[in-house]
Amino acid sequence: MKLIYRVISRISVALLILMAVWATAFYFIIIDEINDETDDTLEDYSEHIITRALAGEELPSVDNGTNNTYYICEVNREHAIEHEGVRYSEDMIYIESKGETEPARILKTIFRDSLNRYYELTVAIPTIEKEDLQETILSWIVTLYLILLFVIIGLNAWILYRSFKPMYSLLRWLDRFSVGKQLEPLNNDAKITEFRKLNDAVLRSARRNVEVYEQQKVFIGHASHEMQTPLAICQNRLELLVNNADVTESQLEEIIKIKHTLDHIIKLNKTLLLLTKIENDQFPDQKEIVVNDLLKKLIDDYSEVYTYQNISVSFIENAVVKVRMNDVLASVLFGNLLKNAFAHNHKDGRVEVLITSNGVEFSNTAELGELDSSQIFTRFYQGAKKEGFTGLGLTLAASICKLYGIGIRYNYKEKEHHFNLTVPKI
Amino acid sequence: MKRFFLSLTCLILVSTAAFAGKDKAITVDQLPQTARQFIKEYFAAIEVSYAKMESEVFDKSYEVILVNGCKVEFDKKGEWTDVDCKYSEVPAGIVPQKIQEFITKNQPSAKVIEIDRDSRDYELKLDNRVELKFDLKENFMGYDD
Repeated sequence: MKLIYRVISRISVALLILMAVWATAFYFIIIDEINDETDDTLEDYSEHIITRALAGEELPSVDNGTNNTYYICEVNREHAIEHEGVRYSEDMIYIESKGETEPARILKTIFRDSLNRYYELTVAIPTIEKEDLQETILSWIVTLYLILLFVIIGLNAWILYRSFKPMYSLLRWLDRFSVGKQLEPLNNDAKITEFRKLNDAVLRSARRNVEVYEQQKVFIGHASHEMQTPLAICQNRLELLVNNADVTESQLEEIIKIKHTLDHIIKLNKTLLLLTKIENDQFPDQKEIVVNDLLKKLIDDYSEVYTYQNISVSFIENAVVKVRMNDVLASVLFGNLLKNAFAHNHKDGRVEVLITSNGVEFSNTAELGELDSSQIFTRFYQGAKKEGFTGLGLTLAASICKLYGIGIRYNYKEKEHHFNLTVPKI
Repeated sequence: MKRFFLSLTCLILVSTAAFAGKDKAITVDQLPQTARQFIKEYFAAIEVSYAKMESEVFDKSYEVILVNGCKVEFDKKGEWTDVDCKYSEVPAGIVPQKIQEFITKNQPSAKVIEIDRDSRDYELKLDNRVELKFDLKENFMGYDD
């Protein structure tokens, strides 16, 4: 979930609650005020009639066309004392001018005249108009509420989007960034202090990463390179030693063991050097290579080497695949994968090489179980240690693939390893 | 959070209900001493038709209707704020000396039918529909339309 959506959704929920409360409160306050005003009108009306009645003035006509009605009746003392003062009520009353019965708010007031007689004045105002008013208020509150909600959410979204622009541009830059590639300039003129700091921190750390990576690469390259000569000398010396007549049988055995180990080291060193060279882009010359021809030759070679394993090979060509790459690297890549297919196989196993228009698939019956597909292309990963293998073969293959934009994928089904190469069209 | 909003709503509703002001009928004996004194002095022969008390949150006021149709209003201390005798005449002595003199001089034939005072001024209504305004020091301020 994007930060901006999270913020907006939270604001919306908070607003929804807040505005609902506000609208309800507002509605009730207004309605209460209307009731209050109605009561005030009733009170004024009642007072006007009472003072006129007491002063002996002529009373206003009952049928005055306003739908407001009143009537005075004399009541006995007990009733007056029981219902002393003012009473509000809501009831149906008959409006003479209209000849209809309608709901009304009623005020009853008990008063006394100079002759100690008690009267009850009833005044009534129809509440129909009030109901209309309430409906109008309610509908407008709902409208206002919705409009406000949408406007606020919209504004928030816009403001947030604007404010977070530098962050998104930084994130896009980070997506493009990868160690080993040239560092892109970060054009992010943030005016916000936090974003500026973030930019600085990210840029510094990216620069440092690139620097460390470069140093490491150079170091490995140099180390492998420098080790080549001493290793070759060691090898020569051992050979001289073997040819020496003074060496006893048991010493010779030891020397041969040492030689085996040394051979392994030399192989490892060569592979590392090759890796470094690939990563340093030291194989500039490319040419078009027909994968079918290359594989045919390699399969012939390896079948011969592994004849003792009695492995059946099937080579299926559904298409002719061509690729532009360095010819040495091409043989390293396809050779490695093919060699793996033969080497990590059991006796009487099967190797299948399938060429389609998309690329090449190497399948072979597995000697041991599934490999860890997340680790398989990292250096020195070996499912199980095997004599004569450096653990760098697949790393090498992956580096070559990366260099030429070839997709490489591993999966395991039905006790078979499958390596898929997706070759870009040329 | 929700509970907070709920209580807020309740508070608003309760306070508005309190603001709405409640009328309550009272007997003459329940009026403040000063108010009873005022009625006894200026409306000696006239009985009270009914009296009521209006309570608001921070204030109280009293209203008395007399059987001759006069209406007198008092503040919470019992000081009069309005005397309305639309159909007769405000009893002599209620209108302050200086104002009475001004009226006798300028509107000799008119009777005062209502006098109202508050913290700002006096307002008087005469039976010839003239309305007058005086400051609290009883100086004439002008006619009111």
